[in-house]
Amino acid sequence: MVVAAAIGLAAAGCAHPSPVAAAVVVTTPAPRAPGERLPAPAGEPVLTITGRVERTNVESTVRLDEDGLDSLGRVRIELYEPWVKQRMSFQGVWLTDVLAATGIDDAAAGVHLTALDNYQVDIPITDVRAGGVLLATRTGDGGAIPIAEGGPIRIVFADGVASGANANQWIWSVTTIDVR
Amino acid sequence: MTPPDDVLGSGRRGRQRALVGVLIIVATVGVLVAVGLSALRLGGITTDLTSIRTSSDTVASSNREALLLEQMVTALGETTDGRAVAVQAGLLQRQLIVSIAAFPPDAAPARELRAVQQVLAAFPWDELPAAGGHDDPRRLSALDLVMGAERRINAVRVEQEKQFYLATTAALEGSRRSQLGLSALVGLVLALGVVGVTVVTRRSRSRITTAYDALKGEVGERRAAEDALRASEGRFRSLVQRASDLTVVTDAVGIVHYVSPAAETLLGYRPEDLLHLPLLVHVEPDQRAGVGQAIAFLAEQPGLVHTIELRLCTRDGRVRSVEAVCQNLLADADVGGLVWNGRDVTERRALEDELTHQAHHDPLTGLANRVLLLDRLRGALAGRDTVSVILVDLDGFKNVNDTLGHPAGDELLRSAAQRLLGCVRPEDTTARLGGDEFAVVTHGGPELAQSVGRRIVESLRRPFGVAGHEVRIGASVGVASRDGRESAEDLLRDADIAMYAAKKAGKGRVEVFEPAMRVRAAQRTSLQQELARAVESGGIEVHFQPIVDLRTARTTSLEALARWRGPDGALVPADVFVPIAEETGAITEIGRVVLRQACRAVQHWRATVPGHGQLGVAVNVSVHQVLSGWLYDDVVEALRDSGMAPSTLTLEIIESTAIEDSERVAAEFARLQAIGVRIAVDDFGAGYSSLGFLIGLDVDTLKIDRTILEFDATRRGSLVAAIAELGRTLGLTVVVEGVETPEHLDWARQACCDAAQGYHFSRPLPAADVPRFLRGSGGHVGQGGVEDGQPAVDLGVGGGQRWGDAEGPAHPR
Repeated sequence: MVVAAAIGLAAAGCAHPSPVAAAVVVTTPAPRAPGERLPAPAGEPVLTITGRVERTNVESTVRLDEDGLDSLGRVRIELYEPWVKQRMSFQGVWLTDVLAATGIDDAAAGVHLTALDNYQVDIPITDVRAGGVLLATRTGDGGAIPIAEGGPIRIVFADGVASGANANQWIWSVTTIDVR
Repeated sequence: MTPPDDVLGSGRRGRQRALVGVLIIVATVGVLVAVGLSALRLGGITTDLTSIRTSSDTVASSNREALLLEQMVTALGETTDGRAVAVQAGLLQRQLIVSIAAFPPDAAPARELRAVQQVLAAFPWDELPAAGGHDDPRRLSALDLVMGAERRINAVRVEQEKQFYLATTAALEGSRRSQLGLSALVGLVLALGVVGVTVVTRRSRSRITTAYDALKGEVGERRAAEDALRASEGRFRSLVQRASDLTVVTDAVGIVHYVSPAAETLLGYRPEDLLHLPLLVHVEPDQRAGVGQAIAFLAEQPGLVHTIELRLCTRDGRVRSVEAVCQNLLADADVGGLVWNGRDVTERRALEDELTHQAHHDPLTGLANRVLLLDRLRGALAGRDTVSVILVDLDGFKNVNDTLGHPAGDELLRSAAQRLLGCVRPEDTTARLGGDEFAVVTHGGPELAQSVGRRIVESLRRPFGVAGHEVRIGASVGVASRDGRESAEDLLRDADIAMYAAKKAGKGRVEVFEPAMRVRAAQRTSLQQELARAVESGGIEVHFQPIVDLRTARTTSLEALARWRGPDGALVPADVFVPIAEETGAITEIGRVVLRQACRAVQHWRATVPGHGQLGVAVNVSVHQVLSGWLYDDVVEALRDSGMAPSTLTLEIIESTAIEDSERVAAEFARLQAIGVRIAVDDFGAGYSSLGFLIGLDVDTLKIDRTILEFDATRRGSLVAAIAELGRTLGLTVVVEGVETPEHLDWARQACCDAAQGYHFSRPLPAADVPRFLRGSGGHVGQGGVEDGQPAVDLGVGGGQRWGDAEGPAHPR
């Protein structure tokens, strides 16, 4: 665990130089090599990624189940949730890691996320690249996030991330990510 | 700079300058402080408003999720997509949690929303997928739960909206006030004429403006963000024809994807409240099935245009009628839905309903009218029930109308209508057929209808208070029951016949229709028609009975009497045809004919029979003629036509009938007397024999009824003498009627009557026989007999001597 944490810290340090490092605990290492093939979903897909992606696993889209998402490298962070106005912990995959796994077009300007209730937001690719945007897939103790708490997948921003200042960007119950 | 001789002045100016300088500094500082405070306050307001707006928005979102959940649970019977319901329940809870967090933990909205959220969380949403059909108790309890939750959330939302607008208004008002204060300061500074201060002020103003713009921008951004959430509404804009029209785009199963802003004014819902819900949710429950079918039908026919009137429920529970033109544009790439263009026709529909009501109701009494009555009667006859019609005709209504005026008559009709309603059951139809005629359609046989009829008669007999008077009227009632009849018109006609029979039998009665009545009615009808033909074709003859001057024993005048020679050549008794003529109104025409023929004939005899150049004529007029308003014109025309002097003509009226409207009668007679026509009261002593009437009418002649002479047989003429004395006292010419024997003649002479008539002198003569009578007897009747020397009984006219006989003593009115 210590080793994993150290590697995680190193990895996190690379991907996210500041200000999130302190709050991040890596639970599973990011084992993937660049350009590695995406895992095919064995269980029920919980997330669909479409648009300007370089690699797909189901026809022209990327479909990921829980294991698939976990395999992209899971971290645990604690942060301030502006909607319930509390500090909370989540586990999940950095959005940069997700997009690194699928590979994105150089022309991509941002991601367009759609929720179960058809709520939609756009996050510019520069904000994504600035880091600290987490695709939360589990609660802090590793359980599934209930829909009542914004599950099964939601976007959260690490403390101090500029684009997270606007609470409307905190989309919950995400179903698809369209790279545009 | 300053001239030396102005040293004192310059010293004063120096103080002034110092004072101005101080004032400028004070004003400048004041302005700066005010600007600073203003900016601080605006900042505070912006923060407050943002916070209120945010919490308000989250509650609105909760409300929307609740509505969606409600709709999903409603539709669960069809969709059986329990998983979607569970997901939606989760989304709602999430939104509620967010809403709760937007308030301070102990605030009322937070407590209320927390309670709602806990109730929702306790429900086993995961078990719903198994809940199949409509009646599944789990589905029903879920529905109850969601509807209750939605109501509570909505209540919170409404309260929040209110708070937001209150806060906004207060903030803007405060800013306006502070700006006013600022303006006052600036005004002061300007008054001092210091440019620098003006500059400062302008800068201050621009800072305030900027702060305002920031506030506006903040609000605007939120609005814009909300707008953006309403998925691609812009592409449908071209479909919105008028701002006041409601435009809705639904998908093939009727889920709303776009609503124009008119929804807010029309239904009270914000457009976003309607999105993603089935249109049917807002359709009046009774109409849902029909509209659902229409949607299904429409969705299968690309391009089809369909018009439907939707009755939509508003937020506050009212129903509005919306005439919608719906077009299937599912195949249209720009639209991809069913497009509903609706116009609010609630007012128009209300007006139409009102017009329909008016078309079926009597405006005076509010009762049904003939159209509706016949309609209901037809409806009742279409079933197998026993049905009866009760026809009610008021007795004595015309009298009230004539004496107290039409407004009083209308009031009486309204009161009578109310009493009628009190006599019938709620399910009976009560109508006013017109005039003073009412009808009731009741489900029941003749016995029931008869008892209702009796109740009506009793009820209408009680006095009415009308225009400050106590008025008594009566009612005659006819009843006809189904009894094999299948035509509404027949039933109504038979009830009318029975009512007429009740009237004939003495008013205030209830008669049940019998077939024999129809025969009699038919006879009456045919008589009416024949009489009408007789009047047209000259079938009305005029006979003349001499009136003899008792002093000279010469015939000085002739009384004209109408005779109808029926189709079979026999004379029809006056007491038979006069009432019929009065009913049908033919009496006016008959009176006109008699007047003209009598004047012509008498004028002819005055010119051609020697010794009768001063012959006069007396013509009976019916009260109908007097009140018809035609009498004066008819008299003038008859006089003009014949060339006869007005003073030659005497009009005779029976006093008992004239009482009905003595004022109008008196007025008519006064007009006639003004041109020289004389007026006689006929049959005096047979009816009411009102002295007041004699004086009130200011008549010229008094005719003593024939029954007085008959009655006097045991009194040896004393009664005739008394009445004649009365007449003379009033200055009237006295004529005694019914002189049939020499004894009668003696009494008449002893009573000092001016003239007499009767069979003793002559029975009524056909016009052709009059000259012979006038010449033959020379008009002298001193020998006490005519022609055969015996008083003859005129069998041809039965008991009636004049056409007005039916109005005589046997049938007082």
